[in-house]
Amino acid sequence: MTPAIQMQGVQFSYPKQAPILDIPELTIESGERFFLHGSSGSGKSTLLGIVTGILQPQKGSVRLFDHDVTRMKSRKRDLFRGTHIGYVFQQFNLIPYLNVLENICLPLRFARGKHALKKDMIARATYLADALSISTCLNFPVHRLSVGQQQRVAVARALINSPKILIADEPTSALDHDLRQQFLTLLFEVCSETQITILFVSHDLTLRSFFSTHVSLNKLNNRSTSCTS
Amino acid sequence: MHILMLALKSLKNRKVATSLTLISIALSVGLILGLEKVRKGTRQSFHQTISQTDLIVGARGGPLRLLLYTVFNIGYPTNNIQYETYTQFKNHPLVKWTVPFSLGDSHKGYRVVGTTEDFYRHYRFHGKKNIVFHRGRFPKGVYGAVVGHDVAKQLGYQLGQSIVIAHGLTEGLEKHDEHPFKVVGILEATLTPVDRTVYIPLEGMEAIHVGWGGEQPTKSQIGISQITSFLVRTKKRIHTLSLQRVLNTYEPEPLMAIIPGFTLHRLWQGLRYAEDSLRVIAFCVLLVSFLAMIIALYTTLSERRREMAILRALGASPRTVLFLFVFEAMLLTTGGMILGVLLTYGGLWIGQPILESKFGVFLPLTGLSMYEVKIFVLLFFMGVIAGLIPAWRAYRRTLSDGLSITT
Repeated sequence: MTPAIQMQGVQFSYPKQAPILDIPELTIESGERFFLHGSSGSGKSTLLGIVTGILQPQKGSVRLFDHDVTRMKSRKRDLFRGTHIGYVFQQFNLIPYLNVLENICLPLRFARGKHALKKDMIARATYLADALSISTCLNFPVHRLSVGQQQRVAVARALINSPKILIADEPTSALDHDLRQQFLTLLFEVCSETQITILFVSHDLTLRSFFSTHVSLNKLNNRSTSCTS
Repeated sequence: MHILMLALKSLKNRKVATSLTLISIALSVGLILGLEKVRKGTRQSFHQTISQTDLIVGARGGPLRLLLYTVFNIGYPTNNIQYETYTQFKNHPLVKWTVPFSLGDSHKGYRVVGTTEDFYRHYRFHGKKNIVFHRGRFPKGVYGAVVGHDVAKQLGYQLGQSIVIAHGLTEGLEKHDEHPFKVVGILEATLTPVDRTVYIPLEGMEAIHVGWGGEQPTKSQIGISQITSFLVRTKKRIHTLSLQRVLNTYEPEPLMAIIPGFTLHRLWQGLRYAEDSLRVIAFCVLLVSFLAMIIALYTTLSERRREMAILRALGASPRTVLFLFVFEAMLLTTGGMILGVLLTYGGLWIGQPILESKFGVFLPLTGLSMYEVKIFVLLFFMGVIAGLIPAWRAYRRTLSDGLSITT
């Protein structure tokens, strides 16, 4: 089976800055729950930007299943991301002027060929909200939600398109310990029925027990320049 | 959800900034539109000061001058024309009716015009409106006067009031006080210079100048020698030009015949610079409000960096982000224009009676003209272009920011 994510010889630097990433190889198998450990400033966000095709590496290739995103035109990359990747940020995931349901359904706007889904998007949104126990606040403005609820809305939104890959960038860092456990349990429950690949990035090593694979970014990256050095 | 909906919701979320921007655009759109309406209204009132008159005839001189002293009570006639000449054209086969005017005297700053019953019968203004008596009737005798609406109102004249007419157009030295006139008629308001005029019979005018002493003469006893100008209505309007040629080449004395609409138009053209400068000012105000819109959108940019990153992560292209901002500008512009139109028509509806009674300008509640629609199209594109400035900045920023947000 083709791997979900395959990076080879990827090098990246921001304009007029020293190279920040140099990853000879990274392979994440399809259906894998992958924990990437990285301290802040280690280039996590940059790596995720490259995986999602928002940032273009100077060298190397990034393959998502059968597609080389580094060779796609930017318009196609955006569409590919919208269709196949779900993304959860650290916090403040939601568009402040849309309500919960509108936030959950927003990715349908940017996906291709999901008309069947668009038709019963409300049903699917309700199903996801139910599974994440936020169904009572679908019509709430997002500022009325707690941080934990907001993160669950973000998960529902990331999954609405039935993506093949779910990327989560420190989604639990704003939650306290109990909520963290609860959140991850819910996340895996929702994902359990699908063969979705999860790339979870965090600096919190205590969470690695939830995942099948765990890799440190510092080991992957030849240009590991942590803040302290 | 369409990006346009997203833009709408985003604007609604920033109520204060959005409404302030909307108000500023609406006010300047209202200013431009209101200016257009007032301009048109005044032009229409002006052009219809006199209507259904095909030719104005006077002694040879400047056409503008003839128009001004005959219709607008402005300036002085240089020469008179013989009464025989007038009667000859009055009975001309192509002529339907005529109205003679004899100018040169005044009463307390208001002009006194000698004329005949034909004035009350035939004179038309603002299309088909004719002279209506508020009180009284036209004078049967020599020393009867009819005063316009403003004259009666300002001087507080009632029927039977005795008035003295001064020679010359300013309150002069010479007064014809041995021949007082009696007010026998007061006219309804016309919103034209007629309101500021005192009308007396041609015979009365002649009598005070010849110095008809003693007993009051009857109209038939007085022979009229001269008049200043006269209005002509042809039987068929197609004859206007040929009649004009006949009048202009009249051998016994030098005459001049002008087509009032044509000369009015030329006069209005002369006043255009004032119109144009007002328009320039209105457009400057509009530019300022577009600047306010750019600032309003621009200041949100940094607080919306996260929003842009979220949209990007969900699959939005940088172009989508660009469009989001452009659509917001578009909505603000369109909303401002609609509000401005409502404001203008509301203002017109309320201000109409005041403008009409105080300034004699009637502003009809007409629909939008082609010119105004063109202005709106122009404004719309100006708004979009203004929106492109913050939109471009947002576009550049999403490209460099990617998913990293530093807020």
